[in-house]
Amino acid sequence: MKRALDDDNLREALRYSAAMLGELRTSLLTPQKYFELYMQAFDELRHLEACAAYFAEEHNKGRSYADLYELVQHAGNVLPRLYLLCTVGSCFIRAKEAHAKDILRDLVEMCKGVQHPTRGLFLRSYLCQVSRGLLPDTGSEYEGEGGRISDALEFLLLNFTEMNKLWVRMQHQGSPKDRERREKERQQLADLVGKNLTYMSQLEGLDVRLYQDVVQPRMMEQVVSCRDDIAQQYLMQCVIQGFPDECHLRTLPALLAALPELQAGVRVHLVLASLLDRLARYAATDASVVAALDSCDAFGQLLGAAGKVAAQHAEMAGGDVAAMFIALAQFAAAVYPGQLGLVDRVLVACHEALGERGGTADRTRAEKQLIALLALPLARPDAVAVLGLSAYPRVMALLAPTSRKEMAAKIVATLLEGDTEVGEPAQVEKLFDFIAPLIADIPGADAGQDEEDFEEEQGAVARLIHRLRSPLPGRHFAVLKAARARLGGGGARRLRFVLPPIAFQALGLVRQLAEGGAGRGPSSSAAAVEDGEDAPTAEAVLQFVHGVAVQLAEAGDKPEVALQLFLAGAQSASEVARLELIAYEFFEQAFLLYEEAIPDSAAERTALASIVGALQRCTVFPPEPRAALVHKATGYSAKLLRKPDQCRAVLACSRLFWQATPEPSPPQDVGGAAPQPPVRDGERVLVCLKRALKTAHAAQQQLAAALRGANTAPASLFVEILNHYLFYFDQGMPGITPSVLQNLLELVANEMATEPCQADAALVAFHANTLKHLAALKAKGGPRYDAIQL
Amino acid sequence: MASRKRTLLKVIILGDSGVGKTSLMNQYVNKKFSSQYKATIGADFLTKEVQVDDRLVTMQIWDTAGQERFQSLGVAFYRGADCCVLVYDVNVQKTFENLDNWRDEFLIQASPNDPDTFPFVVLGNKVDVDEGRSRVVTEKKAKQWCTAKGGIPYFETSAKDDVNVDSAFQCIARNALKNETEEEQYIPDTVDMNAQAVPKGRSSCC
Repeated sequence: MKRALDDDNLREALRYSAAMLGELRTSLLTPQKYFELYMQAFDELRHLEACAAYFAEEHNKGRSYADLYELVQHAGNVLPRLYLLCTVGSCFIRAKEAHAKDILRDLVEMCKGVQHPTRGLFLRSYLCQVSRGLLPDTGSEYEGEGGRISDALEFLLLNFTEMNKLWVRMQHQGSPKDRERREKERQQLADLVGKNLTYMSQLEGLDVRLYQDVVQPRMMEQVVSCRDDIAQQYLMQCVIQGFPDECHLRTLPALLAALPELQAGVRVHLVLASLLDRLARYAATDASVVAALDSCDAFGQLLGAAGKVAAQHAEMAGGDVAAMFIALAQFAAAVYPGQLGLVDRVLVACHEALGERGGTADRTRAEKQLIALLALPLARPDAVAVLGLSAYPRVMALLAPTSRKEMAAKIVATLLEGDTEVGEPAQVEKLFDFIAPLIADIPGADAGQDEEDFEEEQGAVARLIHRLRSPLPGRHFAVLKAARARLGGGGARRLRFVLPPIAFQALGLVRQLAEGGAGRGPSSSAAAVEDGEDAPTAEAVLQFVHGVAVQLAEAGDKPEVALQLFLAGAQSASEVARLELIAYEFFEQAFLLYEEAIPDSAAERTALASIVGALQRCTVFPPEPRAALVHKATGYSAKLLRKPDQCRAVLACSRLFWQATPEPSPPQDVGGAAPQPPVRDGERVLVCLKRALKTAHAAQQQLAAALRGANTAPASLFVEILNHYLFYFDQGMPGITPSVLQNLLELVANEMATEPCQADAALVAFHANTLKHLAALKAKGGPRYDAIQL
Repeated sequence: MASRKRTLLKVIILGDSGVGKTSLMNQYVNKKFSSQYKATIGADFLTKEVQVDDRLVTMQIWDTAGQERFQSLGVAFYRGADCCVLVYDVNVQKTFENLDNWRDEFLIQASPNDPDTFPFVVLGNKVDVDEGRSRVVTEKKAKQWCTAKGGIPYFETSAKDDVNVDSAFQCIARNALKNETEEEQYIPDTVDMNAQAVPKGRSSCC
């Protein structure tokens, strides 16, 4: 062909070209292979066309393009003939010997001669390609007599419509068993059809008005009426991606109206998502875009369209429905970051759409999508605002129990991550609605959960309780009461996790009230007035703590924890609020629990140590009630089973008779009892110490009988006793003289000299440290120490 | 006839979606610019006559779809390319990182005779955005990459403000021309059907 061209033999050149183009008549190639062949032919035709100058010369020899246009029609087969016709036609237009619009119309009509889908599509694609730049576009040199922008659009729209028809028809040719292969081939051919849209969108003359009045209606008409899954899916994407944002904004109703009309097999959520993505990006460029979106209630329209799609297609998968709403929620978050109300509207619509489908239970993908939807608002910096989403728990309820629970755990984790505080009783109620699966048993949610998981989960809830606070005491108290009311019903195994944090929060409140009462009396009442809630009395809060602890005790799970609560309450009542009766009540409860519920001797030992420690520090009790409490505690110590335990308990009890001088603290006026002077009863202390010594000896003998003294425990007890003696001696207690101490020192030294004791490194160190301590005391202790020999 | 023997240079523009491939081509060929994003569907070209030194050549500039979903027919048009232009957006890191992929993909698909010396040109586009304040890929970084790939010429362009567009394409044309070997005139390329030894069927329906 090229040789013929070089030889100026046009007729031959055309003949060769036609022969070459005949190759394109094959039906054996896949679209991609056919495309390669087409590209080869195309390159050759470029040469033919590139000889515009040559044709011009030809023209001078008396041949017009019109003749040439006739001449190429002599080609025997229709396909080569039309390729050549398109080629020459383009030259014809370029030479401006004919009006572009006439030639184009002629060509686009003539191409109907090829109805084989693949060949037809490539031929028409070729037609587009060669006529590019030759269209009577606005501002183009072919405008005017050659036509107007409307002719250019008409040409492309017609070509597009014809191509789409060919493409869709392909679906219905051949045997059903080739369907998969055919659909794959159709997918590959998609761009040939879609390219028409690119040509249209790149026309200079295409403004928004033309798009709205002509292009979009014609395209959508074709898309909807072709009733073909593949075509609709692809072309909707092309329309959305191929035309500018401004066009979509103007034609949003029409675009959205098409969505519910699409075939059931079209994945509408992807279409909607890409539209939303575009609009969101567009909105980010300029504030005026957001205003434009608002003025046509774009969000409402979009939401409505999604709802309609879901309603129209009852068979649409739950996951796809959820995916649409995810896209909407993302859109709302991107375009209107502050407006959580919009997210709520999305959730309401989603709930409605999925509710009709009977939730998402047992459908993994839908479940996943829904979880993703619910996770979106949690990603906000102010995650607590999620609680304002009224529809949120409803959507959560659509999930299967286990995922509902996971979601709840996610919410808790998110709230814990930030420095969120929840300070409104109503908000607390909502919070617990949101995490309902964590605070009470729901059927089916605990499948496969082991104890460790449970502890972890409840631990997180417990941490969350510490975030329930308000700077206003009245409100803080109300929040805690609300929390207790909800959490108190969670079943015995949850109480030990969730009640202690409530109790300790309340104790913190007691302290706050006490301090506030001293420091800023008038201002706190002003805050209360403003608040509309009176600050509670410390007594009321302590009663609350008492109730919480009693509930925990009654639940029977981990009485040790309840006991600690009672003791902490007692301490607070005594030292912070200075309310003797309540403090006494707390101790009584603690004793009751000690007697009835502490399960083993190890727990008893710890519990008793705690009781003694708490009691020792309480200064609110007048002598008589205090004596009663102390009597009880010392009584317990004597009743411990093992001698060493008894010994240590008695040592500890000795401190009950020798209270420390309270730290000088700023005078507090909490309306309670003034502190009692510290108890200093040396005689009783001495009784305890002697008893401890006796018990230690007894323990030693008991062991000697059983184990031949290989145990060092009694020796350790002696060292401990020595330490107590040293303490009281240093405190200047009258009953302990240097000689008493000296005797004890010798006794201990003798004990320590034995072989088993020397072998016990820890004990040796303990002893050595004790002596070092004594030496230090002696060094600065004054004349009382002089008599002591080390 | 000298005019007919005019050289045709085939240039392929590649790069991620939205980096400005179509805009660069339109600015260069038509001197037009639109800031609206319109995805390109499929691949298509514009031609432009260029004077390189004393030769007049025709550049066939292929604009391609950056979005994979609009590249359904494959990349048969890569073949016979004389130069490949890689475009990225200096304001988007990812588009720069993807240059590697585009280059590799091109070399595999176009399979040029000598991949090591095949001419590429890299364009860092959109330098105008926000007066360069939102830029994330530095010129140094880009040049380093180009050097590492065998000294690819690099241009910083703005299709919007027509910065460096002409000089970039001038360089593209020059490099493409250098690559273009004197091809045997009349022996057409063999159509490789990928060893699919299928006899050419003569369907008679059209």
